[in-house]
Amino acid sequence: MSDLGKFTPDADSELFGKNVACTNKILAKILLDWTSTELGDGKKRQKYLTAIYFDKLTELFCRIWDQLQAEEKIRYKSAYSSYRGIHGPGRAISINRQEDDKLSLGTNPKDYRRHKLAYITEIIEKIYPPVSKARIPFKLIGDAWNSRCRIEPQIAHSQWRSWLEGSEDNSMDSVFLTARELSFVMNISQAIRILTKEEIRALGTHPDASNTIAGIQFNLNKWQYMSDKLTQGHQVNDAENVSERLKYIAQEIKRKCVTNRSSYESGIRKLKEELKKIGDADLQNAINKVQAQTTSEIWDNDSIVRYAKYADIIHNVSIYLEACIRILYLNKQLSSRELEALAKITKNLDKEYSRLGCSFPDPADIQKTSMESVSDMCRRVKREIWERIPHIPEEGKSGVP
Amino acid sequence: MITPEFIEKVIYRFLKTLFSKRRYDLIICGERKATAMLRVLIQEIKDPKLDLAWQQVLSSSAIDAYDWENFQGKTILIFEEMVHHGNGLRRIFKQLRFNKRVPRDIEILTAGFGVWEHCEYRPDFWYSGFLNDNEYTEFREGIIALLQRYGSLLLDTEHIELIVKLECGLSDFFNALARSADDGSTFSFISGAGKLNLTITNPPLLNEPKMKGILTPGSNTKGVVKKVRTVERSHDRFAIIPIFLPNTRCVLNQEWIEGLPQFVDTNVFENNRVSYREVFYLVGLLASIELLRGIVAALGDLISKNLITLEVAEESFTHLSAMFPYINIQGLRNYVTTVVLESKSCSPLHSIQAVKVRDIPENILNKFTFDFFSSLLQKMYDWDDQEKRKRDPNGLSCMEIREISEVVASEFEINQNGLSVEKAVVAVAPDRTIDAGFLNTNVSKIMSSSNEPWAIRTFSPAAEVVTAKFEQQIGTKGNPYR
Repeated sequence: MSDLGKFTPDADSELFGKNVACTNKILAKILLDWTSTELGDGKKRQKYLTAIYFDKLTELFCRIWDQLQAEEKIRYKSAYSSYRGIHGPGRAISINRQEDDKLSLGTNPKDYRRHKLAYITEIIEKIYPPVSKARIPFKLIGDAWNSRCRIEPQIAHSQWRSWLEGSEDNSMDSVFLTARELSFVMNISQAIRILTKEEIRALGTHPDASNTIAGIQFNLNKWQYMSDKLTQGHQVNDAENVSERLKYIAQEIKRKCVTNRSSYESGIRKLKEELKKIGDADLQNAINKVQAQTTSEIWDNDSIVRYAKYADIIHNVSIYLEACIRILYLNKQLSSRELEALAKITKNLDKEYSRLGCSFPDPADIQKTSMESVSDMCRRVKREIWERIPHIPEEGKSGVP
Repeated sequence: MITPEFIEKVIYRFLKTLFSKRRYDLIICGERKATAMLRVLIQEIKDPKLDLAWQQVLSSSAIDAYDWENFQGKTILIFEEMVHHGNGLRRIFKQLRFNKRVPRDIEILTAGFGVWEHCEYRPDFWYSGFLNDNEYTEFREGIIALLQRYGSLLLDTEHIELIVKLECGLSDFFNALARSADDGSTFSFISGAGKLNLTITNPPLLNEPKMKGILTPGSNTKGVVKKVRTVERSHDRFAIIPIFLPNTRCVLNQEWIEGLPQFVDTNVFENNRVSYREVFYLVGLLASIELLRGIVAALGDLISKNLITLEVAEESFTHLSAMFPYINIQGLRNYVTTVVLESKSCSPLHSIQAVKVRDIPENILNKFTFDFFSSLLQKMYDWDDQEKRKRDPNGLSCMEIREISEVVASEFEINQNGLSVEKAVVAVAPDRTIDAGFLNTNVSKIMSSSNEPWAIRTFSPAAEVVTAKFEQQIGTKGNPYR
């Protein structure tokens, strides 16, 4: 594992490398099964998952697998730990970047990688088998830090079986998967295979209410920081990117508070039905412990209900702010569709916040206003929202819950 | 337990000792395991390899084509890796002494690595000379496991191969290969040693007119073996082995002989040196090269992006001199290189979205292989004496093999997970049985209704020990895979 050794100089390469290889092989198998599933009516799944969906697939699998290990049903944990990110919990490893890598961080404004962490897509990008690429479990198309990068399985079904057969000796320590571990993998794959990518994303993002709350708060803290940058009179060099990011984070808040609920509902229902068919009691118990069994456990939680009330407004404020920056700072024109959507948003914001003395100019009139005036209104709206939503202290910088 | 590692070590030591005590001017190998075994020892094992030139080796299938008149040597060794009754050794010996009239001042000696305790025609040299039934079977299976480990070497004593080195993932490679044939024609599976395999059945030819010049006048390709096998050799290397064996009418004319490529020594057609067997294998060799065109075209994208390297490697050709002593091997290699170069710029048959590799799970393959082979044995047992007399002893034709496969497949649940079981297992099961050493391939001569000789591919059970084991299995336990 020479690449892995360079990438993780502090790791115990012997055990760690082997664990990474095993985890990646299993993930490749699960992704292969998911992409190969025929949907009926002659429809086929796409042959890849994009980064966020793959990240949540990894998170979902690793969460279940680690719980099985905690219950001593299997020998080893997954190789990756769960860290909080914009999109909720995701799997990563803690690293020390080489100098060149450190320098490359931040050269692209949309590259949000961190110095001390490598998320699953970067791990896949950088780790190859020691001898050529013939047995890479995945193919990554696009930049690893881009949410649109695609991850395709590169293994063949027969290759999975040859991994199962081939171990240097047949001792318990060296065998890739014992019979029981294999059955867990196949059962997890069977259960995940029936889910849509949105359902996988929802299940991966929301293990339970407290994690969801922590995730929303994490996003809110990020949103606050970025909106402050834009609205407190600081000339932001990269205003366009920051405002796009702000809007994106607001979308994520809304997704966690509201949008994911329906996908979670259909996903957990399908998962429960499939687990019943599979009949693996140990697996079922493990999943019950790490995954909320109903949507109301999460979305009827008081804090989340309160967050949900303001998720739309936060999103709308972000859209409005981003539009103003494009028009006022960058002299850009909005499309007719954008103008139409913005008009509706303006109306809602006006209706909601005119009592605060806020009057959000119509899209057609934005050019007549100033950024200071818009910023002032956004700050007032934000202050009020912040008074009404629950606040949880920010987690440690690593984002470990 | 006899392991492949043990076999490799001791057979190397046996032959090294044998060759060090005496010089042999020619080593004739009982086709096909002995030739495959030599290939392992000469080319594949870690150093030190067996120091033997392929020019010194001749396959027993090529005895007729060898230029005995100009043979200058003094000693010939006939080598078989396993000797049961000794009939194989005896037959080769007789062929040399009486058919080819090899003079008596040329000494002919025999060697067998493992010899059955009740062997009637014992070789002059052996490693283990008195193996009982179980030991004999173990030795045999150890040899087959060794050949499988080095990448299904039982396959290719008479076939060319290209070596592919991968810089891309396996899925991209397999999917690219699938573009050379229609959808539903490409199957992946694991062979006995856990090696990855891909079989492409009935890939179309890119250059049909060229094929007409290769076939002898009147020959046909109806229902024949026509496939491309891709076999894992190591972590990132695969061998692509095209196999195309037309039904060959063995009535040659001057036009056909003159149309042969330059690497073929056409003097072999004079003086009756060439029998139906040589004609069949030569036509098969040339036909299989034509299959490569479509394969190379299908891999064109990966080649141009340097995601794979296609090698016409010398070591993939040198062993063919044992089978084709009248062919200039370097000339053959150059010819194949030209075909590969020409094909790189051709378009693949299908787009990547239009085709899919079908995977055959082991449980289905094992079940089917067992039933298929049992049915084959049963069919041969059911022949009455008249039928047996009518037939060439070398076994069943491709059509008969296909019929047996189809009958057996009809008992399986068709369309498991979108896999057409019948097509898949009909394509792959014979390969699996050959790899496992259950089934031998032969060439049989049949006379047409107009009394002309034809050569066709036939298949027969490999050895008495194999059939005995199957009979015992069926009799006592039924199908172990059901």
